[in-house]
Amino acid sequence: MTELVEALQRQVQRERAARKQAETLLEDKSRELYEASRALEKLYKIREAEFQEQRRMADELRESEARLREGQGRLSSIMNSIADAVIAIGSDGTIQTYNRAAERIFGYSVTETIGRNISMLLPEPYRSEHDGYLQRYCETLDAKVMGINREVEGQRKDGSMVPLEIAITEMDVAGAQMFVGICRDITRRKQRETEKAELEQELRQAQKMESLGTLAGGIAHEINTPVQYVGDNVRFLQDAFSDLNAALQAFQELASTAKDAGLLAEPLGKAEAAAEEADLEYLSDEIPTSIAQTLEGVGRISEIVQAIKEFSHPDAKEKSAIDINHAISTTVTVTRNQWKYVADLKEDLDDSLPLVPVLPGEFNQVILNLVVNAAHAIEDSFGDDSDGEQKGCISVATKNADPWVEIRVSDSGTGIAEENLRKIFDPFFTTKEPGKGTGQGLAISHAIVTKKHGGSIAVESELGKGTTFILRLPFGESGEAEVAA
Amino acid sequence: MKGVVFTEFLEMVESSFSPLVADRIIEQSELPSGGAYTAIGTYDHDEMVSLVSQLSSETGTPVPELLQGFGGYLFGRFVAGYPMFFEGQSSAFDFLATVHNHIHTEVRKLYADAELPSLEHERPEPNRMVMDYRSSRGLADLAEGLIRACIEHFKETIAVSREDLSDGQNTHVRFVLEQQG
Repeated sequence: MTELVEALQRQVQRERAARKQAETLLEDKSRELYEASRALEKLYKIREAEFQEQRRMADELRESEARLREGQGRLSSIMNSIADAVIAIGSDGTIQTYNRAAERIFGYSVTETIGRNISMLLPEPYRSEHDGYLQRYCETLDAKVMGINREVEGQRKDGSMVPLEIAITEMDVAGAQMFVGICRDITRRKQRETEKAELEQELRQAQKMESLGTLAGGIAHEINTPVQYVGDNVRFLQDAFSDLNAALQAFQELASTAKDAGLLAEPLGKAEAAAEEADLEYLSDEIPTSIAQTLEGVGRISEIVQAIKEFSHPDAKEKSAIDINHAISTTVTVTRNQWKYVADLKEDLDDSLPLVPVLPGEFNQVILNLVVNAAHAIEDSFGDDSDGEQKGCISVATKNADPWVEIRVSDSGTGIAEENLRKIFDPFFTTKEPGKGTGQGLAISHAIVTKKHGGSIAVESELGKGTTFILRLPFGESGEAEVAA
Repeated sequence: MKGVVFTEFLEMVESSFSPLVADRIIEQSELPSGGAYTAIGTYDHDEMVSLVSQLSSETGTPVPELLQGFGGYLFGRFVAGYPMFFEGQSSAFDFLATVHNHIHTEVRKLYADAELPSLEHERPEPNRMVMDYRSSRGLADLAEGLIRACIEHFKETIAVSREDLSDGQNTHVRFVLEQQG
């Protein structure tokens, strides 16, 4: 029993000691927990500070990104509002930037171009050669095109050409070599230049025609006076010869009666000898013919002089309603020397034409150009046959095609090749040999008919058979107003 | 060594033998701690060696047998105290496979300074498991007691053989478990 009590007492002591150990351990653990908590708090504060710093940096980054996006947006807006195409390429020719103006000019969208080679925007042979240019430049850094404005042609998506003024600059972006091309579409400028050249040519032509007209008018006037008195005198001589011839016949009858009566044999013999010497019979027959031919010639001179006066018409700046048929006949007369050796000219003029408001001098010039061209086409076809054995045919016809007057000038000449048909109204286009054509006649005629009269001019041609130019002019009061209607 | 091993050991001695036997072996062992153990404390491993030796002397039972018995007792306490580790487990092989990576991890959460043995396992065949016990404590007998109690818990027939790979030190022992029938 004692042993058990002692054992229990020792057991109690051990349990107490164990409890104290446990309490000490608990205190230690509590302290550790507190220290761990402090350490955690400290760590939390550090992490919190780090988090705040990261958040601040993230905010800054977001702001920077927003500013960057804003800047990119602004740059993009600027790029897209520029009227000129801005295209940036890498050293391998790959397109990296392509703005809206470039889309408009070339017809390709940005998605169709980015990453593709710039040569897609160039026509041949530059398309095939561009990579070589670029490579040589990158190797030698020698190029005449850098930083210089120059005119080139670009090729649109639909294959058509577009005239461009281009300036290329080189730049370094983060160590990468890039080239920026600024391309301006100069189509309108080119058109204006062409129009200006046409206008200048027209002006020169008009001045020339005015000078020629004034000169021709002056000459015609000077010729007209002597022609008039030559005609008057010839007609006087015609009348006088008729009277003289009647008197001569009376004298011849008297001489015959006297001879039959055996009178005045000696003077009659002398008179007969003189008459025979003069070949009075021949003179009586031929002098009226000569006088008639002279009068016909003088009449032709008068007609031509009148035609020149009318054709040269000191130029009216305003339209006036004229008889188109008469104007055509006048021009045909004036140009006779151009066609008479190579062609017969047939007029088929519609008498029912109304008066047509035109600029007479310019209208005459159009008809002149077409008739002269017709003569040249026939000459090319048949050659200049002065003997008139082989001639072509020119026909000038008018027709009332209400509200238009239609004028057709046809020839049986060489005809116009298909590939030239669409170019014949272009300024300076000519197939004539040097010195024979300036390439301005049809261009000016086209401008006169379409721009100044609101009309149209078309051409039908068959190679080897001939050509017909068809003019249509409005004949209303104001001409152009009715065209619109 | 964690105090829980000592407290469980002494409880086993009290229940299997008597409180007087427990008191005697404590008194005879002349322990630095005086035999006052708390489960959460840490004590010298040699004290356990002394206690087991004294119990062997007191009872005339060999130390290996005592340690295996203690292993069986500990497993029972383990089943009672930590039923969550047995949820979903249907065989000794499956449970033993979780000891090293699962249960020892949980032990370290409670006792960060615990010096736990290494228990690596292989399943070369479906009905065969090889477990390598490594510990400087040399308590392979305790491990065997635990393994056998586990097999008994799952009511399986598994033959257990062991091979000492540490020249009798019991610090590296290979257990081979083979399902029977």
